[in-house]
Amino acid sequence: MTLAALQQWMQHAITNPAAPAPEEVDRYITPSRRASAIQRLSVYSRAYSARLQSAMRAEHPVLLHLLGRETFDAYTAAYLHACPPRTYTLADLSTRFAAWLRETAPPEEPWPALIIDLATLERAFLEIFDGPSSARRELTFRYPVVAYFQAVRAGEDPPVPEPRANNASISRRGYDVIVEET
Amino acid sequence: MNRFGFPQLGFGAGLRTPHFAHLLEHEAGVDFFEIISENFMDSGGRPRAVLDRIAARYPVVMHGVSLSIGSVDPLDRDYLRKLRQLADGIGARWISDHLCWTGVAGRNTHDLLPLPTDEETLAHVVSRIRTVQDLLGRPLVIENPSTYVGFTSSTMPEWEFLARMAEEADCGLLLDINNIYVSAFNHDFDPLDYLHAIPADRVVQFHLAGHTHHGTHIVDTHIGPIIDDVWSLYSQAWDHCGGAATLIEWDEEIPAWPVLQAEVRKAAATVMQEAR
Repeated sequence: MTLAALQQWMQHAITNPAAPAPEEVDRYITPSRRASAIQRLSVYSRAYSARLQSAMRAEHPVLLHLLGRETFDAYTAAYLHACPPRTYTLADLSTRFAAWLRETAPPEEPWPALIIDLATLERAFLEIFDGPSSARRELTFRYPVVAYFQAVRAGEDPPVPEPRANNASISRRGYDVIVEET
Repeated sequence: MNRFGFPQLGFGAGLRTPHFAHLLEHEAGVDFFEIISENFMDSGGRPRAVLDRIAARYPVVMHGVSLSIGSVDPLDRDYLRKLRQLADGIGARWISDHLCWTGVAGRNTHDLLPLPTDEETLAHVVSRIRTVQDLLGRPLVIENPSTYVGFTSSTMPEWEFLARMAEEADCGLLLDINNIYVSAFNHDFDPLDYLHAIPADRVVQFHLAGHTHHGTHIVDTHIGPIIDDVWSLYSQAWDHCGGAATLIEWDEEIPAWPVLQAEVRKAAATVMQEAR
């Protein structure tokens, strides 16, 4: 097997939820004294999803607070399967998250709008935080997510907001990010 | 002393976000810092501003996780351009990354994936290191990985692969002592066989870190203090190489700065005591 074919095989094996058959793994991976080939390969499968989901939680602490760990992880697992990372930096991991939520939301239900709004706000916050100092973003929301975002970041547990259309801006003053309803 | 003339920077620590505020207000009490290159390459905000202030006070070396030197995908020229730009911007003393691949077919798993140690892979990696060194305009420093699988197609031990790679590509080595320990357990070899095969004059830097033992295997988690067996292996590596810049990595459950600083001083004490 060429290096190219081996890398294709291994990447597929560790990034897909369905594990390959043990006899297939035995063709490419050696066992150790203490672990079979497939047990050894599973170290990488587990690490792949654990690392990326942990990064998603770190990038979206407010949405995580709203949904709870189990639901948030279910969303991000589906997102990461649909939009696996393709760039050199984990900072790009959630670039398409809000768009993916929008594309996959059930059309007749209103609540996904809150999730989409929060994902959009948190992503914009990250981009402004570490972007050029002149960066500024104007956003339109269907829920008052700015107050919710600020309260959760301040360590509070605010009530889930009711729908109310609004506009917001995100900008930088020095290295501080200013998020405000406009 | 390494053959590249890279300085022996002493004993340092990985620069991590939870320590930013402390380090801006206090003396670090360590000799140098290492950054994860990708965390600063695109930064136009506070992280880069903090790094600039740290780099004005201490020597800094760069350590990457996304070069993917072993991947069959084309090298990412945009990434390499930004890497060089950052190195020039902060006066990095050297640039290191891992003997691994991170993804293929345009994907990045954000893991340091293992390579088979055979002739095809060796030729591929050597050729890529030479290209990267030309593009960066400096020798590249490559770290031995910790790995959890071996390949049926491997034809030589990792230490032979690493030694031949370094000679044929004319690159430096970052010897991660914990990774040798971890891989020795996971692959049933004697860590001293690995250590004694390493070309001493190519070792530019050592890494030390904690790990997580799962009984059937050890995972290189960079958690907790360094265990005694790794300190002992470090002493032997120091003797084998005639010393090198030594850096502590701590990435899980990151402690308050004084705890990390004490681990850095312990590294110094371990080998300096021996030298007396």
